[in-house]
Amino acid sequence: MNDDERLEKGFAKLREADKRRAPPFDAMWRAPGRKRSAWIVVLPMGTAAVAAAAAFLVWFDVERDAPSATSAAPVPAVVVAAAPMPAIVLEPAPLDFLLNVPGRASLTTTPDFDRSLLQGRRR
Amino acid sequence: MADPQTLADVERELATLHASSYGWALACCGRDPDEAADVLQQAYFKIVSGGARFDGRSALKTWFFGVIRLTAHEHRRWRFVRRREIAVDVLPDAPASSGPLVDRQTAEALSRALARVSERQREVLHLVFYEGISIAEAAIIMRVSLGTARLHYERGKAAILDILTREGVKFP
Repeated sequence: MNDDERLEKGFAKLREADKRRAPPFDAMWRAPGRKRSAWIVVLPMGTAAVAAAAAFLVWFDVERDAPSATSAAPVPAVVVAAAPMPAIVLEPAPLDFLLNVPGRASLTTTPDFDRSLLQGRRR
Repeated sequence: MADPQTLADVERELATLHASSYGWALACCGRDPDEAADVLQQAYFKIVSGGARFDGRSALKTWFFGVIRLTAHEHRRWRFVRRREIAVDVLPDAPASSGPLVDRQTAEALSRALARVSERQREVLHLVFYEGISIAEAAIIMRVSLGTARLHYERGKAAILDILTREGVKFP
């Protein structure tokens, strides 16, 4: 007996066993369908409502932050100057150390009147 | 609702196919009898309610097996929701399996082995050996190419024989 014949024989036994335990046709055919769970309706609707609310909040936030051409009043220069600088400007740039050349202090600071820059230097 | 005359004809034909349909539902549900009964009932309900219509483009059996397969897939997808469902109508319990002990043991061993192979392998083996249809027809029902069906057939057959040999199952 080859493999195919063995399997055919086995499946024939399985078919007989399944046939004996199959539920009656009439009961299944006439049985009404299962009532759909409320979850099937509630779940997609709830998800859609949450998504819509999130989209509205994002849109509302963007609209509130965006400067409007009609409503934006001219800002006085003083206020602009006093406005806090963004933190990123206050941070030293990574390559700032390259600007620390000798004599830079004399270029960026005001010398004292009572002290010469050449004080202490002797030929 | 489907046309009453057509529905009556379909009902008559499906009644004769019922045992095969149940066997196919078992194959599509990993050999789980409760799930298979559920899926088959849903498939029948689709026809009664007009959700699935037989258009005569293929044999009724081929078409209905496709409906069962699709219903089984939907059933699996919504399993977590369906666990919460309440059965409107409780079907009568299926009669216990009877018959000679040796035959029953062989059938149970084969059923266990089938549950262990992949879904596609189980489907093609069922259609070819259980239903006695060709691999080409099986490919139509499974909605795969003939080459793919052949591949699953060969691999499935080797896997089943390997499992049965390791379990020491003989076919008297």
